[in-house]
Amino acid sequence: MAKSRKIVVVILAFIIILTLFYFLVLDNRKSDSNTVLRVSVRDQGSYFSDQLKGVFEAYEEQNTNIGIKLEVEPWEHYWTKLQTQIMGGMAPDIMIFSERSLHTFAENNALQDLDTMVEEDNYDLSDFYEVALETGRWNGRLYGLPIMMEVPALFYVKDAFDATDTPYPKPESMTWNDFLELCRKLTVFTSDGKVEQYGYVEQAFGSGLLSWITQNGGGVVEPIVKPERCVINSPEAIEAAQFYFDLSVKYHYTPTIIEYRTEAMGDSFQYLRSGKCALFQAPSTAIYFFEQNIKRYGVVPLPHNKKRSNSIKISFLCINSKSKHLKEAWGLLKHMVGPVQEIIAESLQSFPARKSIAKTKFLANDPAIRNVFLEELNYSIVPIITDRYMELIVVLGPYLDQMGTKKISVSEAMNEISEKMNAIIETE
Amino acid sequence: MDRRTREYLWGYVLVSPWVIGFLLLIALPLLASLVLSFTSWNGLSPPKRIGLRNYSQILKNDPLFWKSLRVTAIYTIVVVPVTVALGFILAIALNRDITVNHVLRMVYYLPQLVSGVSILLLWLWLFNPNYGLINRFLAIFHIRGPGWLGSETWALPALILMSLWNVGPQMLLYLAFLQKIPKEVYEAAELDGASRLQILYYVTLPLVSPVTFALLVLGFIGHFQVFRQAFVMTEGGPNNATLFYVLYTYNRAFLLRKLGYACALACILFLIILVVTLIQLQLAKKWVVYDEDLI
Repeated sequence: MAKSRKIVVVILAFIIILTLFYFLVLDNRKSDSNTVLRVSVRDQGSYFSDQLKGVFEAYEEQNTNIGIKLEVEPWEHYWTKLQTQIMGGMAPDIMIFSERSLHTFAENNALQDLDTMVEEDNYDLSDFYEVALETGRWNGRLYGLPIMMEVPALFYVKDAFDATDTPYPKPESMTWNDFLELCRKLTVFTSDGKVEQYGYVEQAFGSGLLSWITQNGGGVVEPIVKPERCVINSPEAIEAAQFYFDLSVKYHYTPTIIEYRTEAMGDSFQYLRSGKCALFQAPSTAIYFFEQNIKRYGVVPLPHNKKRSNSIKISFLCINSKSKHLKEAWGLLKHMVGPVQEIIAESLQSFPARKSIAKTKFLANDPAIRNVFLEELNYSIVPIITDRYMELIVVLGPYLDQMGTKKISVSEAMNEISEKMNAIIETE
Repeated sequence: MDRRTREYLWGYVLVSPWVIGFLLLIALPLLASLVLSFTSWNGLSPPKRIGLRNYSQILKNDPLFWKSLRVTAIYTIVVVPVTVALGFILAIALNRDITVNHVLRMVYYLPQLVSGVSILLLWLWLFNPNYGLINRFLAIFHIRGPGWLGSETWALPALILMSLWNVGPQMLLYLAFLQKIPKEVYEAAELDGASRLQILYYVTLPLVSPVTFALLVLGFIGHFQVFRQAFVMTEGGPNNATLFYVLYTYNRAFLLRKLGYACALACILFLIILVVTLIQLQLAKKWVVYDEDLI
């Protein structure tokens, strides 16, 4: 018995020592010979990852002392994992941030200030769209280079228009009244009151609300950068929200929030797949879906009321402020920004943030549709720029449910939202 | 070193991996969570001490705390006793040693083996008000099915119903205990003229009471920490109708980056579970019958 115990101990000790040796000695020795840069991106399909690997391989050939490790994370888990990595001090060297989260992490010194590197290298920022570049700034400093933007527009399904004998919309921004009239013509009800075809569908219920508010001259907060008060209960914002919710609750030209959740299971593209939708408001990322599934479609600018406006989403490439290879990471970042945007543009993943690429590579075979997005970009804003974005935006969620099911009036809801947002803005 | 000391040392050596794991991965994080609950911390900058402000905020100014507690309590109070009862009924029904029962035991245990996110996605389809099988089945009897997960009224009942299909582990434990009961006990009861119901109530139930107790305690602890169903299927909606406590804690921690606050919520959860478990342990003295009590 004593002999067998000794054998067990020796085997266990051997396994533990071997494991420790591998992780503490061998693994470190491997990385000493090369500077290894970790790059974390969201999963945008195998084409994107494969193309990105090609970009990195070309970079490694030119820079033989640098190795690049690409980390692709599923879209829905990307932010949670990235946050946890940053909190645990294990963040990658280069990461993607959105306009919703960049400022929070910049405020807490998790992101590297890029202005010094830009100045040292005389890096030309003039090719980036101004709205994207300015959104990447916090406290006057640049923290991310923009790579893609989700510019919204109004897609239309030609077959749905043909089925209702409705002429296709003109390639201009229509007024709200014209839009409402168009929705009325395009919505088809069955004899028992169910909807056979919706006139209008949004990519996600509530996703277009902020655009509608700004189109009516309203806003969410003032000022947009580092807000001091919430203005979502202004008469213009309430009027816009009322118009928005009337589309579903009063007229049923668009699915109700319950229908979005249950019929489409949260995936509005189901309405397109099943031929139940004529107009579809979505960002430029939807082009890929339409190219693959709809074929006969068109794109026109968003409607307007008091002014033209849309709410845009932007993604940035940022450097981890605690990266041990800041100079190398900046070199790779500069290299990535161009080719990554070309991949994005050519694969129709999103709208590139560089003017030269947007005007040449994005929808190169359909300049008419490209021009719609280019035109919408002139009216794009990011409605809230703050390091407390999530705290403010989560206030909206339950109220969308309540307004969408008529549990509360729009004006009451907007007033309560304003109260809660102001309470958040006022507390540290 | 004498033999006894050597034996003790060997014992410590062999349990040390588990003990080290417990200390590093459970005890230390628990302690850290307690300490962090007295701070304001977003995970990015150093934590700031704020005393009891988190707890005060939770108890006085956080309606979602009470809402999530209520939702979780309703879920637990319904699911735990019902699954225990269903498990017992199935065990009684399948206690005889015949081939059909062996097959049925396997069938009722299958949900335990196939649980996971994929099954939750399947349930999403079952609950679809327009195309789902549940409403299609109800339509056969001319009953208009509700909106289920899309309805504020029916979302929580839907999740409760979904939880009731997994009674395999309860059934298995009861079966094991039922088969331990000596036949002579039942024969003696029959000789005394007891009816089947009386035998069930006065003989079977007391003899399986240790299992019932264990299932109620463990069931409460497990179900009070329900998370996955709401996270995958409803994200706490509609309008917070399925905002379970742990999901709320998760949202506070990872959505809003209020880790100190989330730690305070976790500590409160720990206290609630501890208190309820202690109450259950005390009450158990009145109704749980152990083998040694029968001697």
